Amino acid sequence: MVKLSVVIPAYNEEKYLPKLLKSLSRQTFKDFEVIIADNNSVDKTEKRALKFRKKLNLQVTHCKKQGPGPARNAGAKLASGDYLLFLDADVVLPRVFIKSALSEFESRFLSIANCLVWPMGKSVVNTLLHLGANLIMLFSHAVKPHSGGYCILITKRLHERIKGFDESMSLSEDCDYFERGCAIGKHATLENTKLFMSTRRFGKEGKAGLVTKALLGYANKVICKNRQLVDYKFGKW
Amino acid sequence: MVKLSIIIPTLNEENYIGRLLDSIKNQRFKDYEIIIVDSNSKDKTKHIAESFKKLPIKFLTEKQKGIGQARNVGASIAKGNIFLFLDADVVLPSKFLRTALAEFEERFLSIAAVNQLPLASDLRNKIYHQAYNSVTDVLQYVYPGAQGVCLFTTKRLHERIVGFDEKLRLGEDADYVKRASKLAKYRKLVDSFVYVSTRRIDKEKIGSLLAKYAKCDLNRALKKYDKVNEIKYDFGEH
Repeated sequence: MVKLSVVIPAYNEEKYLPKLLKSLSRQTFKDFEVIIADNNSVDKTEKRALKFRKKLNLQVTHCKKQGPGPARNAGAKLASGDYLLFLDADVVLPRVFIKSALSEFESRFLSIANCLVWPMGKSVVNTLLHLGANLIMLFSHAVKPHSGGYCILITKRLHERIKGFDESMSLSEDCDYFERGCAIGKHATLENTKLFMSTRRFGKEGKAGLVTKALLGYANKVICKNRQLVDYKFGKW
Repeated sequence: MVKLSIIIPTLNEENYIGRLLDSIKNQRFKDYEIIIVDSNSKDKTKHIAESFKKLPIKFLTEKQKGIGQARNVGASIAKGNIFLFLDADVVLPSKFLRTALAEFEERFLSIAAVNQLPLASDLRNKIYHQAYNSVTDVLQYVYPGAQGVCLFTTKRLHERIVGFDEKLRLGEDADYVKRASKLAKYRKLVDSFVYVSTRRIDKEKIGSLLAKYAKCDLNRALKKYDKVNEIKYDFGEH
């Protein structure tokens, strides 16, 4: 039995996943397992991941049903930890991430949390955009909790209580999940820790496009309850 | 390992403790231990408690007289992951433990209070209790604080806030809930209630009782602990 299970959905992530796994293998906290839910990748995702089995308690499971929601659920099903940490493949963790995240999570008696996110690289514009996203995340707890799925820390008990991610949603299944979790358990954005995320979303769509989509998405959520306005494909951004 | 530790502080409770233990005996939920922390009662409290041979009771005798201290002593030897603090003059409805625990876990609470109904059936008492319940229903969101009459809490949370404040002779329960709810999720349970005796109200006029509570809360808020403790309100008589 480990304390924490890290669940990573992956669809053609040979480029990014190894960086995340490397940062996981360097954590100061060691009592965790890694479960990669491979979503029909056609590249070397699995092969690259399996190379880390020497350094990490790692397994790869295959989820046929396409989408991050089903993949996360499939990974969580195999998890043996009391806590689940859902990460996207294109993030990288600082060495003390798991240790400080868990200790803050426990000392604040949380059941579900997300964390602050900063871009990889040194672009000022990117940093400002992420600052905006972080502020929205922090303040949304008072209005309507909002989170992407790139980093959600949750107790296994709460994950099971809300029956995991809604597999029928193709977009913002992560927001929906976070919101349902927050309605039951105590929630917050972790303040003592942060992670780094690739800026590939910006690259493909352009900054203005993505920001507009994100803002529209959130406004849409607050105002008209999850009617889907925008189309967004998993692994394609 | 039991799931629930029921902790009951007592001082001269021979008239009440039997009824409470009877109502615990009748629960269908059995995964509990009972810890009675007695402040050296001069009456038959111990004798009555020991007559319930089939119940898993640990009876501790303490010299000190503080109710917060008594609860802390009980909690320090408790083995359950969830604590239930009860006053001796409470009676549990049948199925209480099962229903209350199910809701406590279902809603991911770390600390919870319940509604109180009077053991007496006169209208005046019913109105008082209903009013108390309604007021605390609203206050739970803005000014958490509950009576120690019946309080669920997790062991982890109790230890984290280092238990009841033993310096307080009165209002230690409201203080406890307030500190706890800053850290963890506190709510009143909606599916459960307990019966309480009306001795608090019988002894004193409702006005003067409310005035005492208000004075106590105010002074506690101002951290004037001496003034709180000056208020005449004796453990075991209420």
